[in-house]
Amino acid sequence: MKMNILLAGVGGQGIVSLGHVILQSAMKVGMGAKGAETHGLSQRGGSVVFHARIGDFLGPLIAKGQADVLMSLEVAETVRYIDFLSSNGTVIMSTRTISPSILIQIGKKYPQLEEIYQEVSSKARNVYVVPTEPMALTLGAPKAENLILLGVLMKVQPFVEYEVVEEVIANRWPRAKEVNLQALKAGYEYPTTIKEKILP
Amino acid sequence: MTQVESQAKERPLQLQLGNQATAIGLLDGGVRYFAAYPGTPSTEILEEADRKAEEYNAIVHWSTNEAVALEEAIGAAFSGKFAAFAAKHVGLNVAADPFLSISYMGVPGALVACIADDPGMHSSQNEQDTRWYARLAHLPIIEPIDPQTAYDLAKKAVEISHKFETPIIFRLTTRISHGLSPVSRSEKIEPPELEFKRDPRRFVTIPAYARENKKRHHKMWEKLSEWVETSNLWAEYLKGSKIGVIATSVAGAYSWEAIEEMGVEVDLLIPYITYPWPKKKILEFLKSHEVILVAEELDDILERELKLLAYEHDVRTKIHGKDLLPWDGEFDSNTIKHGLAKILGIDGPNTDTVVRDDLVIPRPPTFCAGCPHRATYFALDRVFKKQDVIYSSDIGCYSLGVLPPYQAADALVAMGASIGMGVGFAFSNPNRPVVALIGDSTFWHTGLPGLANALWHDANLLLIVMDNGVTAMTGMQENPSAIDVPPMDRLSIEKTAEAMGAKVWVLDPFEERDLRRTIKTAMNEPGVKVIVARRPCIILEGQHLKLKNETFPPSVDVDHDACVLCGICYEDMACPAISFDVDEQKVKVDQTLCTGCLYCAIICPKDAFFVVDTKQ
Repeated sequence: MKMNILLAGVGGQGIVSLGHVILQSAMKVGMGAKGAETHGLSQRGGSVVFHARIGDFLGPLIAKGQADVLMSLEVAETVRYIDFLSSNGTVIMSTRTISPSILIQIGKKYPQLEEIYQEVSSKARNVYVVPTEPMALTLGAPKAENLILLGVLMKVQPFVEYEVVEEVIANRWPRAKEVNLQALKAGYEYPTTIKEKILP
Repeated sequence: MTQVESQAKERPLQLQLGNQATAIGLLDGGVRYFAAYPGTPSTEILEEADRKAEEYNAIVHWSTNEAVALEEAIGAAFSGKFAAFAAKHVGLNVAADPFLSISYMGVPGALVACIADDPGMHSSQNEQDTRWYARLAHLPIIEPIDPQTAYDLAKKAVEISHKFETPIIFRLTTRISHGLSPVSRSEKIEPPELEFKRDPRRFVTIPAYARENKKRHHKMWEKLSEWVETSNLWAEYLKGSKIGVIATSVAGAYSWEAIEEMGVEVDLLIPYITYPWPKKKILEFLKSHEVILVAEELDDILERELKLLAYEHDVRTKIHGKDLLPWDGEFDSNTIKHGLAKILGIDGPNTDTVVRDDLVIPRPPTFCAGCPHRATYFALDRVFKKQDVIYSSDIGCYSLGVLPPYQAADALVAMGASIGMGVGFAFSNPNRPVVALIGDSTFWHTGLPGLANALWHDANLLLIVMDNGVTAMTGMQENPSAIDVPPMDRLSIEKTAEAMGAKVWVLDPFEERDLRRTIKTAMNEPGVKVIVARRPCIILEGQHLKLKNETFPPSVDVDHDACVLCGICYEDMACPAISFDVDEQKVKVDQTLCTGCLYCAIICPKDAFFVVDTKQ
């Protein structure tokens, strides 16, 4: 099995941790794992992307048009990387919006959400939208939006057994184990397509 | 995949960054002395070595700058130690002076210079190709293609360096340094117990000795070139094709992938040592193919050398390279596929999906909520109002001051250049205020000679040292005046500047009115003025709190009755936690981003911010 997963979001949202959990889960069952992280200055509230590649790959980067799944923790970040998605790819995105303060300076507005959802839907085979922010707050785990999104992936396009991911998460955050596993489960039980929820 | 001697022992595979794999490879290869100055994408080499310092009984130093770091490593390697130096590509420029002379002397121990290039300029000011340095300095260069080869080849590099008594370049790029994959380790090698033996004819490079040393170096180079021929330091994937790819560094990984995914009959040769390269192997590959594509990021170095080799041996193979592949930016497998498609006369990969630019919003990195730099820029903006002031800026998180709303950088060239350029600006624009901006780490890095020069020439210059107590941009490394350095070892920026003869003020940039007043007072003084704006980096604060099992203090919210939407907080100060909701016509605070620093409450003319305890 080969799978290219591109993870996008804003610095501080836990994109790199999410990438590590995915790669470690693949490694645990003996699958190939390759990744590419964003480091340095770009982490300071900027756009962050992580390339996670499972299976027989050698290079760290997913090329454009090659991502099987695009997971995005921020609405507008989804469109920035949509050209990485393959023609029959899946998008799993949060409904979370984070408006950068520079928009005020340059007199630009955050794009209309419907327009983004339309655009994403037109370029993907399946689109799953998840209200990660309210879900995470309900769980009392504001930092676990990334794991909610991962839960959805485990439902709609699992690359390993669910229990493997659980084990990796439990080992990685022993002190926040319970709440993180709840976040994963919440996502797993919330695979809602964009057609059901947002677009008619 | 790797054909380097990687006898994976039963040690468990671990997910490693290329930089971590490099550090562990160096340690397992016997390196016991590390020195570096942090710089993305090279930083994690020393960080990983530091984490393992005790286990390996290694000395690991962050040094004040790259030249000093390399000099430390040279001293260690002259003493017979196995040493390593790490820098980003432009960092090697700072160390270029010692670097270009050590090949003459060689090292009795070992010296591996790990240099990380940045194709695509993810966090750098240029795309210089370190492979030229190998030619310039007459030093061998090794190029891994992923974290596993980084581990294997780092070990190998130590061995070659010691065997031929030559420093060696270990060249990484962003995607190798920050690429992740499982890495298996092989046996640890213990370095020999050596110490410094006096040998001035070798180590003292006066002209008479240097002439002899150059001849000695040339002989070593001949032996090394011969050894490389049988070193097996390459990988090849042969399908008996008439078309071949010679690829280096991460382009080797992409080439393998491109050939596999396209399902085409194309041969591939990846040399791991590229200077001196295995000439016979390369020549044989060249002769046995009708068309060759040289796949290398950045400059056309191997392409030139391959063409030279073809000329020397009268081989008529058609050699492609930069005619089909880009000169700039980074590659991926599509890059190679497009190049191969042109040679094969077939369609390239489908990349039809286009991003709708009108839906993409700019999201540059910003100062964190609670960042002390924002306060310094806010005060500067209020004092100078973007008028005829000239801001001579420098490299660090504070470089972001170039962006709106502050726009407080008129020139930024290199580490420490703010002060030197500031002197040039001051004498060339005598009627305009000149402000040089530098961080604490950069002050020690290359700011000091600039300050000495400014004082010596009595330039009319205001220098603001934005001291956040840590080397923040590269991820919280220490520097001579860093907060985490024990007080007895810590150096003082203000005492140093004062001793050099500058007039110095020290204050917290959150003392907003004081800072403005001090800037104005300083501007009325002649000569060199130094303001140390000191307040800890908010990320460092967060880390300190975490160690104590604490979190940031309660955050703030807005009293909408008091707020008059003047825009000072969300437009002029621009904290990422504060935004203006156009639909509701209200100022909002993102409680997950707010660090409770209360700077907004300090600058709000209507006292509209109040503290709320949302963290429970």
